[in-house]
Amino acid sequence: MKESGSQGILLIEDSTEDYTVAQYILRRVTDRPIMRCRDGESALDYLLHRGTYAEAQDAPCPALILLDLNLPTIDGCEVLRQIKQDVRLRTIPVVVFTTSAQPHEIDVCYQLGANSYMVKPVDFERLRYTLELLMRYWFSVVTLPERSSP
Amino acid sequence: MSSGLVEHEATVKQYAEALDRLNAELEQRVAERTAALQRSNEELQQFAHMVSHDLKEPLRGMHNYAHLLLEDLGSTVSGEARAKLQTISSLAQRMEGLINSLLHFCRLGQENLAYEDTDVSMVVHEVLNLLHITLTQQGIEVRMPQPLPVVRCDRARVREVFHNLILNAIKYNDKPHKWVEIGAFPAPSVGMTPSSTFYIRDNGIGIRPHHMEMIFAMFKRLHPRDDYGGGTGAGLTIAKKIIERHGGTLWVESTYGAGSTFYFTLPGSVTRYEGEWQPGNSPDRRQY
Repeated sequence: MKESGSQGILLIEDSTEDYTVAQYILRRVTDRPIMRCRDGESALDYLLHRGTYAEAQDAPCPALILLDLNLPTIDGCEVLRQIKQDVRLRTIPVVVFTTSAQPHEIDVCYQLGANSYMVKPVDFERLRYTLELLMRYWFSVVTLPERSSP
Repeated sequence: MSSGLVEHEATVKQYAEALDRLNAELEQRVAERTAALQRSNEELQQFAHMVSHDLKEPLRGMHNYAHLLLEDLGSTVSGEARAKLQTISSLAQRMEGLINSLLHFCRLGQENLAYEDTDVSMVVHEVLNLLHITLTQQGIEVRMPQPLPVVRCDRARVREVFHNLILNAIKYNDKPHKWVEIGAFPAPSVGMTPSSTFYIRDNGIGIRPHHMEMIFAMFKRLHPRDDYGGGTGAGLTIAKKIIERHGGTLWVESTYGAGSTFYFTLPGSVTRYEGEWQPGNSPDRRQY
């Protein structure tokens, strides 16, 4: 059965191929809206209601953020740092979803307050399994704080 | 003052000046070399970052898109076309395996070793537990004629060495009754530090003499890609690198058709052998 909810999932992902595949898999397990930002700058604009996202209704607050690290403009670590420093945003779970398994980067992300760090598998079935598990974990297993819609 | 003494003083002064000049030159050279080393370390770090992020991304795209295509086409696609699409995605995965090995190898040369007193017997048992399924499936006899010493080394890295060498011993074996023997003996000391030689012996396929050096080259395999369980061909290169980082050496002796023995030394034994062990005395023999 598909998981559902009104609060969406924000994918901060510059690779269109990675986004397409993630979206393809997520669509089959959840009815939640899926939003995407293609770089760090626009992700922060989205979350902080700045620039093109100045109107709050254009940028509904996500229930979960999937964050790639290797991003144009502002990189993923900086996006993570700003999210975790913002009183309003810091309760949103941020799952780092990236290619690199370098111990240094994993360490930095957890230092900055990442809620999970996951390495993107180069294996479609594993990716599907990972994303399904992620959805189940954040939306069925754990309880997240209540969030008033903007 | 005698003229001899004046002359002498002048000479001393000259030498002192020359020494100062040489010292300054040396310092300058050290500073330059250090800067160059720092630069090359940074470049290596950037290279590792580039490899792990940028090279893998298109690869993942290729793999995933082949899968999306398979799902979209569903039952309309013929068995042959399906096999070709699956080949595309498995090739992408193979490439990822190669990139990961390369990255791991790069990191091994850079990172500091986490030295700790390590009971090598325990490390080997951890590896055997990890390989339990393979050992059972192939009915492999594991022989440990004597307990292994405690050595000051990077535990995780040395575990990796044993893992790679034991896995090779299992993989490259075509005998009906397969065995692997793991042991150690004292090696000549390195300076004041006592040293141990470990060995992993098998009754496998062995290596022809003219291939002995080649097996340590990165991604070098002596067999067709999918024979003997496949693999990227990085295991021995990585094992050798780890041992060399510890200040040891790794080498092989082999008889083609009869089996191979891989040896490596690790300086820094904490305890040498508890009492005198007799080869073959109370051997730990396990039939998997």
